[in-house]
Amino acid sequence: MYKREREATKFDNCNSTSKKKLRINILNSGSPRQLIDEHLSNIIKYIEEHGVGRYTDDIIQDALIKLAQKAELEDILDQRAYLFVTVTFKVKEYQRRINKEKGLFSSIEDNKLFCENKALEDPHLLKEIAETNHKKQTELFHHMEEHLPPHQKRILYLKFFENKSYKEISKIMNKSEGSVRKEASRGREKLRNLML
Amino acid sequence: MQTKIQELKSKSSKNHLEIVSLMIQYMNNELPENCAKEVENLINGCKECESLYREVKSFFNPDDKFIFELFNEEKIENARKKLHIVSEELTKDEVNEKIEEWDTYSCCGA
Repeated sequence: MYKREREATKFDNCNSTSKKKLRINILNSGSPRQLIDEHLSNIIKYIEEHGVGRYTDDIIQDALIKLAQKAELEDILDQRAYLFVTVTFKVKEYQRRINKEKGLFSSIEDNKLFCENKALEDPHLLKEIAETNHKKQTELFHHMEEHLPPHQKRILYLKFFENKSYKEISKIMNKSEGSVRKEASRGREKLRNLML
Repeated sequence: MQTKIQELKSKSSKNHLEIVSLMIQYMNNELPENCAKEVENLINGCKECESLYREVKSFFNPDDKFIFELFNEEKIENARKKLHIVSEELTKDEVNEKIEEWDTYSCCGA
């Protein structure tokens, strides 16, 4: 059982003062933070893709508090699902706020946002986006295979496809965390230059 | 499973969460074969579910994530730093205030 779930179970027996206390404990214990941290790049990518990139910090902060709030209310069976639902809801909320505050077509930017959202529903465009992404991925794997030394390849694989932390990778590879970070950074730099 | 999924098709946010959870498990091959088949049928059998699954996939796709991280390292690091600062600095009153604000602002949150 996740720590946060255990906390939530305990919550049923709390009176209102300790509820407040627990709420803060959950926030400080780092559990919601860890969840966001683990998926941070997915979250930022999603926010940017949906045209609300300038509100990234606000959305992340709102999601953090929302997760901390939710943790006290009920068991969360799948934290990933809850994170997804929270972030997508927050993004839509900010999109609605933009549209409401300025009027749907009051500025070119909003018009663009509206078109982008509409475009995401277009199956032909979606297919095109998927093809472009697939092409980029193929190119990336080719470069990884051809141009990276095996240890860098392994570090990047463990980090990005197995979702391991640098600490875990350092244990797996029997290297210091610092050297793992350095190698990952070198590998990424190499790939970045090759992909440009 | 079939009955369960039929139940989940209702629109309450809790069920929405369960559908998303099933989709993530399906995407990561974490479901038993028969359940995976049911989820597959659900995705292919309803446009809304198909589009939701596309969104879930795009959100968690490790390949896209890697490419994004490759070109946005600094941005992500800055956001991570801010996240850590915010989670350390938020006070009890600020959190409660924010929660009250939501309670009055939003009628149907996640």
